[in-house]
Amino acid sequence: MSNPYAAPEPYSKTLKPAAQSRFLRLELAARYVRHRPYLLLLLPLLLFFLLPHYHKSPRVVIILAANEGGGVQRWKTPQEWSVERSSIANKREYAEKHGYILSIKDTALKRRYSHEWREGWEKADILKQTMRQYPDAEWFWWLDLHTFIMEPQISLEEYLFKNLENRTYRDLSYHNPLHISVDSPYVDVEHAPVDLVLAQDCGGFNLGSFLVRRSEWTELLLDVWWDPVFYEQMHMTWEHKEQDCLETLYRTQPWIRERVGFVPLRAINSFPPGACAEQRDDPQYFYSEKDRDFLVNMAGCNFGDRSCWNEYEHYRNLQKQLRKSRRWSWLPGF
Amino acid sequence: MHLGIPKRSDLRPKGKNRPLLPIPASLRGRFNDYKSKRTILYAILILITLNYIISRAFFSSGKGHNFNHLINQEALQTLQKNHGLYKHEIIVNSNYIFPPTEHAPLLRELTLDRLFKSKVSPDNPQEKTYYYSDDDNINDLNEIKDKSNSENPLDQSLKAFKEHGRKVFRPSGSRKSPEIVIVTGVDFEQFEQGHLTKIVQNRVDYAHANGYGLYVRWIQEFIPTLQEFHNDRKWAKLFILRAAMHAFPQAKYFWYLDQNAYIVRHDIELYSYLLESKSLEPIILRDQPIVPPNGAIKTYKKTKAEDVRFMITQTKDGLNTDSFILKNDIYGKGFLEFWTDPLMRKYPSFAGDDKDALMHILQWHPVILSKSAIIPGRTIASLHSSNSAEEADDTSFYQEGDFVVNFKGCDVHHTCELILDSYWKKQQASE
Repeated sequence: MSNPYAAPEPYSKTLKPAAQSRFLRLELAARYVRHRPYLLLLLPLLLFFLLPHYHKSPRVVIILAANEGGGVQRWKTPQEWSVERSSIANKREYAEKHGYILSIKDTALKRRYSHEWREGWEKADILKQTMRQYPDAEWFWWLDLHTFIMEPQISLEEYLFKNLENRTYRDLSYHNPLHISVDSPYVDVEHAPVDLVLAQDCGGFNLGSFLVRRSEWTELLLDVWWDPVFYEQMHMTWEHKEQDCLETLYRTQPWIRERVGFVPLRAINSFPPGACAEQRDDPQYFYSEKDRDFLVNMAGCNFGDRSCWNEYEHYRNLQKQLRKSRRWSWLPGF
Repeated sequence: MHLGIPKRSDLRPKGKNRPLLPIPASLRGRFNDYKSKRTILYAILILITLNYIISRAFFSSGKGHNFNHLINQEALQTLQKNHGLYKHEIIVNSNYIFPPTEHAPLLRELTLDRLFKSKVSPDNPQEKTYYYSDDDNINDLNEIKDKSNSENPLDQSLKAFKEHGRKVFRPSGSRKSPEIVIVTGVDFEQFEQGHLTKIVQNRVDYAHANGYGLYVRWIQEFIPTLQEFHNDRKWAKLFILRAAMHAFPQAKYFWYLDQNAYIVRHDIELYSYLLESKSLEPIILRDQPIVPPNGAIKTYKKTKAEDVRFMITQTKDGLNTDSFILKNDIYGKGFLEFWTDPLMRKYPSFAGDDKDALMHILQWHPVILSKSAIIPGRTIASLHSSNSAEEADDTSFYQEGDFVVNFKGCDVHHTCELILDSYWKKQQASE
């Protein structure tokens, strides 16, 4: 064996162990396992951990609205920075755990959304943009900044998407704070899928946390959501902008009604005490530690005597505690 | 130490009883009591694996992981039934749903006061507000129960008027749904019975020749809705079209053809003439200003025929809503319902003409525009010209052999009957 390019070997060949070939190492491992067959049992265990991540491309995108109302009007306080950081970390952890995509969108004040011109309709535009950005994703979950996922082990597929049509309310008969007429002509819910998953709080539709599926229906809804003729007539009445507009569209257009599925507020958007203050005794809106609600939305925490940072820290610590008690759940007896 | 090349015998375990882990000598005796230490290891590993599998399986359906405890199962099960403007519907077997035109003089005699319930408008005592009532129940014979004398022709026509809007086609057995449905609104206050009969007969003949469906409604049936925002009667076409989509849920296309249009060629079949991609592709007017002659917003340059859900023609004053074709899918329905939204009808500059709302929609909503096609005027709405020498424009005015003639604006000069008659006679003569 004479290789002219090989460096001259300083050692005598006889004293050096021959380099083990790759094949030999594999054979060694195989032999090792052959004599310890119980090790094979570990394989399915390994698969269980890996499967949920690698058997499909991400079909869920979490859209997190950061920098809400940010801009030049005032400076962000250190506490606001902290809340924003925690919120992002919370969603990032959740997205990584389940193999979703997290897309953080800046909702700073912009001139194109200034008063009397499309103010408050960013959501529709951001959704359109995100759908273009991730052409393979199917579901888009909008989350406001002041939301906190309390139970990150819950996967959306299991929790919501599986059998969605039979797990959501297809009309408003169970809970109707806006007194929208429940019956409408031309609504065919039996043959329509659910393309928008919404929850209602004490004052009506809540767009702090909602899910929307990519579909022809959604494309059209995002297109008609903002219309200058509607806006001109209603912008003084629609206090919550796109949220009120969606309520109006739901009220008057059967094709929109057909594909909205409602879930209880606490399924995707529990409130802390303080929100919905007029109905503080009604348990259907407020986070329950006992029931292990999925998500808390500290909506309106920057108003009145509430403090976003205090509330955020409270739920962050609570989650830590809950998680500690769950650490050994995979062992028998825990 | 000299290592050398390991031999096979070096790698083999030294014997069956070689311990797996160094076990303290004090415990060794106890472990040896079991037949095989491997059994214990197997047991532990199986236990952990099983526990893991079970906890996964149970946790995902367990209380902590779903929101069933928050849901009222009973409310979940009750789904609203699909119905039209009326909750009680009359199922018919015929492809042709149209009102008896011989009732026109009777209905006119009855006046709106007896066709609807009414009350005096609170703002203007001169004005009456009409409204629907859904209290007429359907009996087993699919008829509205009436307490009045069935011999009286006035009562009969009133009953037919009330029943007409409830008629829906549902395929049963060998009766398949037509794929294309022609939709027309007729006005018994504007036209005499003879004229109305010619219009309806023209549609029936054409639909029959090609196996299409037909859906004709009295415009007066929608007076209460039109009154809400003082809309012109032109808006009624959209309500009629929506009702037609409900009456023929399985049809693929709906062609709205106004009462001031007449189908001249009964041998033209819509699929090969217009609807198939290869027929539509070459005739779409791309990069065409929506507001003629030089509006800023134009139709897309790259509209594909297979994406088109809405086909309409244009005159020099704008889009011509006397004749347009709409596909029956989620885009078609969504677009139509958006067009008829109360906020559209309420807007002062749209209240008079549905066309203005349409032109607004196409200019502001790119998704809708990308599914719409403006097609040459003479495809489905050749305009009638009283003096053909006067008009040099041969792209929009009727010429011998065209499919449809549209006498737009005939109501201004009250010439609708005359014009229709001339085309009707020509057609009768050629047959």
